[in-house]
Amino acid sequence: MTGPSWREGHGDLISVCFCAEVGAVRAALIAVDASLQEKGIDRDLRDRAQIALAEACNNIVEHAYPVGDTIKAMIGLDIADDRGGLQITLRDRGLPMPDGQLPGIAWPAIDPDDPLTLPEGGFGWPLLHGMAQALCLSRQSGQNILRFHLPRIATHRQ
Amino acid sequence: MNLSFKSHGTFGILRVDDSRIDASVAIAFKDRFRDLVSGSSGDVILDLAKVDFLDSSGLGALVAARKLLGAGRVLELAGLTPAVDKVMTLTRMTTVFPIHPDAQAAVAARNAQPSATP
Repeated sequence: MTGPSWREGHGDLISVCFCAEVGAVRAALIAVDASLQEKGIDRDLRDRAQIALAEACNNIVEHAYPVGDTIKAMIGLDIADDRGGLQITLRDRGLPMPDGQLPGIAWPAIDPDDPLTLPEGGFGWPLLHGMAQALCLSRQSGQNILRFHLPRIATHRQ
Repeated sequence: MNLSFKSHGTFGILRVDDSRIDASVAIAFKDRFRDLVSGSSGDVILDLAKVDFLDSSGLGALVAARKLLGAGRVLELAGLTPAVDKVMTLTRMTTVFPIHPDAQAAVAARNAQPSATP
């Protein structure tokens, strides 16, 4: 597995690209966390960045590149400082989101009294919506561009 | 996936010795969990103190692990680090799993409970 490659880009904190594959995403997120720590970003904001980035990247791996063409399937990530928070941009050249829309923000229903019926999925998008502000998706020149802001102080949507 | 299980009679402690439960190891986690608990009975305390990151795939693996135990056994969680706690709280999984500060506290809570048999 090749690691993430650092590049010149639009993020004044981080510009990196990596394969759209779960192992490469894991390696990239670990490297990004270490880099943000070096740059003085506190633990709480870094944790929120890890959660939001994992959900966004895993979605790209699963849905934008379903055929598993991992040689060409890449994810570009830029992170810039924004009023003490983070402005994040993710780019991929995979399939567009169906209808060009972001999936819903509703949490899956759970019944604490009946653990055997608990859902095992459906938490990814609500988690990303819960972390991020100004989440928006666009499609330009064959690229999906997902942008969001993580505020310096958490404002979680429960 | 680095998991180890120790039986303590009426319950067992399953320790995760990896720093992340994410999409790249979710299936391995489920398989390993099944292998480790299948030969035992009783509740399972999952010690997550070494885990500093859990994504929604990892959360799905914890839910699958809970289901694997079935109705007669309980899966308790111990030692949630801040990022893991954040995911568990936001998804309301804190209402599903009994949660303890650490494995020692989970065992102490168990010993403090009045015995079910007279």
